[in-house]
Amino acid sequence: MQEEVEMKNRLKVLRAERNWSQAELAGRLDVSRQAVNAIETGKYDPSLPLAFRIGRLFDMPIEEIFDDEQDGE
Amino acid sequence: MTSKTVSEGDTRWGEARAAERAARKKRRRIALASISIGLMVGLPFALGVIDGVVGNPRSAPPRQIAYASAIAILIIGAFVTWRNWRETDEMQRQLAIRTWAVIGLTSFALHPIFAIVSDLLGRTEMQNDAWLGSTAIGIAFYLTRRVRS
Repeated sequence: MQEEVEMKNRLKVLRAERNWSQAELAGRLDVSRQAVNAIETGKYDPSLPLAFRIGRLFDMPIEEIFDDEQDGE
Repeated sequence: MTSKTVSEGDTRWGEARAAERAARKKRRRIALASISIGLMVGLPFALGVIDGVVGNPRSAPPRQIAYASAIAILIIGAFVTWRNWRETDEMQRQLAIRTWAVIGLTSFALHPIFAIVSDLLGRTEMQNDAWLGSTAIGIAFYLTRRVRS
């Protein structure tokens, strides 16, 4: 049986490095501030299109932003 | 032709304007919802109070008016839902879908349970309680998720 994988991400760090507020990042991604907060705290996993948008915004590949904690396996 | 020089401090004027517009829109929506709810709930309540004071309850309105009102409410509800759906993001849409799923599932489960209970208790109106119960559970689910996010 497939177990649920918890996703971690570096969104909060990347946002802080650019001095952006959650609202500002939300505006750039065209989502709500609540969505940014939920992604940062791991309560919501973004869809693939949104993950690509996040990757493009920070000019990084998705796997450098999101981590499914299975790299070591 | 005139040109506007934007200083460093003004670099977020666009965001400020967008935030102001969003706040205005929100205020307008709250006012509209308050007026609608006030009319839908307050007007019948006020008429009931007047009838009580006068001691002469008026007869029920014709069924056609009730049907027309129900259809109008359904159309307005569908339009508002469609507009909200278009303006929300994927997380809010997922929450909406899950909330409707919770309402549907609880209604599906509660309806036969309440039917049996109402038979045992000799009451006939309990199916409506199943509808109310599922709606209450759905709203509680939505609010809990909304606060947690």
